Amino acid sequence: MRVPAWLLPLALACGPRIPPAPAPVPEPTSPLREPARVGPIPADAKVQQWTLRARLDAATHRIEGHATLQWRNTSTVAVRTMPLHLYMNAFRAEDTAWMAEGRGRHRGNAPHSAGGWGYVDVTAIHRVEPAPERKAVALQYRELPEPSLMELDLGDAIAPGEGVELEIDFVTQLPEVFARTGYAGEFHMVGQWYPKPGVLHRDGSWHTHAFTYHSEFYADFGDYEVELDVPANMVVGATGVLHETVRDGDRKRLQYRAQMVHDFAWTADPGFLEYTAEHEGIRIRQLVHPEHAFSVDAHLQAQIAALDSMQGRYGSYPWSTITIVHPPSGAEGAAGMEYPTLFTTSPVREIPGPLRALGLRERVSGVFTTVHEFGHQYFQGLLASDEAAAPWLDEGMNTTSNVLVVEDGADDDGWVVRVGPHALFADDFVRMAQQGIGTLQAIDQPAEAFSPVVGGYGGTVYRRTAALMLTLRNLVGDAAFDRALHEYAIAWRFRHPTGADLEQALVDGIGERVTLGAADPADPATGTVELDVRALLEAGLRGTGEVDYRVHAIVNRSAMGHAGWHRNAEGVLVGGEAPTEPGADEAVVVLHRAGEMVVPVEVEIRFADDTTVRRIWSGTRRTHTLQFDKHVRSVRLDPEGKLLLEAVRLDNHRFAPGEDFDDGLSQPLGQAAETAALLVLTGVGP
Amino acid sequence: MTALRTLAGAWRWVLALWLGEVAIAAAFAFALRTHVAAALSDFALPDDRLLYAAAEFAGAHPQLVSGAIVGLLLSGLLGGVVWAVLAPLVIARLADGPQSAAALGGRWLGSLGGVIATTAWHALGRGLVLMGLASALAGMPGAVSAVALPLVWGLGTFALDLSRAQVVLHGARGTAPRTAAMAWLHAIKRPKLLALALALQAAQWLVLFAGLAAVVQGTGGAVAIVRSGALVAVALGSLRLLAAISAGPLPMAAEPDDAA
Repeated sequence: MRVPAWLLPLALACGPRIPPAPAPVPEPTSPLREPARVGPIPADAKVQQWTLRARLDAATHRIEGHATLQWRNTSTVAVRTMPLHLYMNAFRAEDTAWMAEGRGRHRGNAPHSAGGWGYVDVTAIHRVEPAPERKAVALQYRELPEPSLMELDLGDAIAPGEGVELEIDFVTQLPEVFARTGYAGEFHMVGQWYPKPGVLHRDGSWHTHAFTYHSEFYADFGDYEVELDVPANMVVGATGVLHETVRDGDRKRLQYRAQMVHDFAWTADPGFLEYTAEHEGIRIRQLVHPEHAFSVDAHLQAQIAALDSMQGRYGSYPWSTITIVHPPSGAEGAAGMEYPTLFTTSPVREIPGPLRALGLRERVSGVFTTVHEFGHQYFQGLLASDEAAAPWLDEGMNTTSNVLVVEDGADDDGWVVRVGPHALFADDFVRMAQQGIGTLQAIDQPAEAFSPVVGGYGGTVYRRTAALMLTLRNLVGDAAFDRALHEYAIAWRFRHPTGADLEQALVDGIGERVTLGAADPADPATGTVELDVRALLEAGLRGTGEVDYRVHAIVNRSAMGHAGWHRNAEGVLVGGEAPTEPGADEAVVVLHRAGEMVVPVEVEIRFADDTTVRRIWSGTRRTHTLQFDKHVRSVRLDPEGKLLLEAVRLDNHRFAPGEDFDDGLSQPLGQAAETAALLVLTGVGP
Repeated sequence: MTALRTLAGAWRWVLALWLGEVAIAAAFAFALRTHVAAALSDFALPDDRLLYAAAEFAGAHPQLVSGAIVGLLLSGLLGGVVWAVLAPLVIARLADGPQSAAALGGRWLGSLGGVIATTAWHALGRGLVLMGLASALAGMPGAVSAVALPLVWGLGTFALDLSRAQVVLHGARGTAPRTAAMAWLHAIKRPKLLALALALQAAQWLVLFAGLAAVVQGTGGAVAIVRSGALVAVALGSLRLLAAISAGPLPMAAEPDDAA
């Protein structure tokens, strides 16, 4: 857009701030860190060996590709066919599974032009006979009615333990980017761009998934040798390490190498600036347009905080590089996606000066995306669970970890949004998302079971999972939960754990039942309240009940005496005193479990003399009554906010009728309202 | 100094305007506070997480949120109407000093229609100018809009002051859109007066912003700070009006209303 001349000085003054790039950090020679950091790699983990060649036509956004895939049958049965994912075909037409569900939109982004379709067209597949013949035999293959899937006839059966070498020719047309992959102007984000086989489980079953709206990916680990042939002016970022660049006129060929990854993605754009840094021997590289360069340090600090937190919790990051791609304006659809050793982030929003002066701060935009997308390097990249079958194992556990990253990295109280002295914390966002989605659908379902029409996928899979896990952590204690999750993460590196594996790891690490404390510490006869960890996981993962507790009533009244007629030992009615005068206080507190989900909850009772006591209620019955022999002033359920699954908290803290109290909300809202009104009145008045 | 002396002489008027503003704002705040307290009933926030509680409350009571927005808009509308109605009196008092009630009443009646009409033309004109500017600035860095839009708003405010002063003091024809349009031109042609008016407006916003900051930061006595800020803002606004009055008669090329 042309800027009016009279606004030029202002526009220049307000132009992007481009920080100077520090001295470049050299490319590591190995895609993996030293063996101690990588940890043990299971013998059957590496199933694939890829050699990929890709030539990008930047004008047509088209890639001519050739792949050599050496694949190993690690199952116990022979296979004759191999299903392949053709993910890019999701963007081929309006009637693909993805487009039919997404209606051509993703996270509010949509392609701008009619010619923005994307597809991958497999033109030939050959099976290469073993040496010394090395003869290439053409194989039969066919796309399935849902074109994100293809079936390949392997010809001769591949016996258990044997391998096959396939040569695949394909053409990939990138879509105009609106959902993770594609182009916008000269920016190219090339993800899910080549045919990828399904995963063969040990029992001989293939695990493939049509690419649906919420579905992400599942693949075997392997090593990659990749040659990218791109225009010479392109700045390229990719999975793994660059080990050779060959210039050829107005083009260049880049040789990349990646090890023990389950995907290879890359980006190319002549407009990228490059910022590199090093942390614990890991090269962190950011590719960013000038418009977003002001935020590279914020992203770097977020990346380092995430690395420190997650390495401490889940073991060493095994790869030697991390590439952070900042999609430029117009390519927002590419933002917020993870690939092995590379992810796309989103821009940091600059807070306008007046709002900053008021004390508004945030750590959500941009930097939280970096924390989240890096977190996938563990749950999606390293553990590599089946994201289509159990998306919560990646998105949900990652969101759980994101909250912990914020807590671990904070040198303050870990806020993510601050307005003056008031703050929202990462766990507030998790809690907030429970409003309205609790009863909609269960967490533990395949991605395709979540319809965009129903909605609530993010709230359920990402944040309800996090709320469940963090509630469990709060109840059983940080140490037990963190230890269990650590052991899970270490044990399942490179091993594709399932939900059952994670649940078992939590039960093993925490224990089947955890004693939370005495129901009434002053009265041992009331027994102890236990948390059934497996039952909580079952209800949380596969149930749709909400956690909702409410202080139903506080009744302060006079204690009843013993006046009246009673039988004595001989059975004779004696007494007949006048009724007791109102005197000693007693109080009855009625608690109500309004939600369907049962979780033990703490209760804090404050008396008129300002003393407090705490009780634990198992929550198993609908109501629970507590009695006291003195006047109760107020009752507070879950006083420490441990139950992140409970979104409705405004009925948790009740005062007895007749008590004079500050509700904490009406006064500040009233002050804000009067101030706002005076601002408006000044705008329209003298 | 003359303007300050004039303002000091009219302190009761300034005080009355301020009290009117505070009354409107306090009534709005009282209504909201009462509704929120009633909605919470015997319950209080479970912890000190005010922002979460406010978000939860807004989610549970959307009708109160929309009611608050409507209430705020109505407060503004009421304030705008009251100020438009009172403007002829205030301008006459600031321009010509103490007068008898009958004299003031006569001038008020004589110019009220014109002032309301020119206010309406300005509202329309300012809306169009700001919308046009906003669309012209679309795609440019946000900081450009953050500077340009308040500047043009301030210019529009001073132009409105000029129009009203011309209608009340010099018989300009308020019903004519040209009176409003010419006022914009005159405002631009008098850079010193315009700069003064803009500075006074900036000062008005600054003192109220300080009050808002006090509320946000939870400073003790924040409401008193906000109300005091509003008093200063009214005084500064009256000075701005005096600046417009000081421009004297301007060629508005429109006949007086009573000659129409």
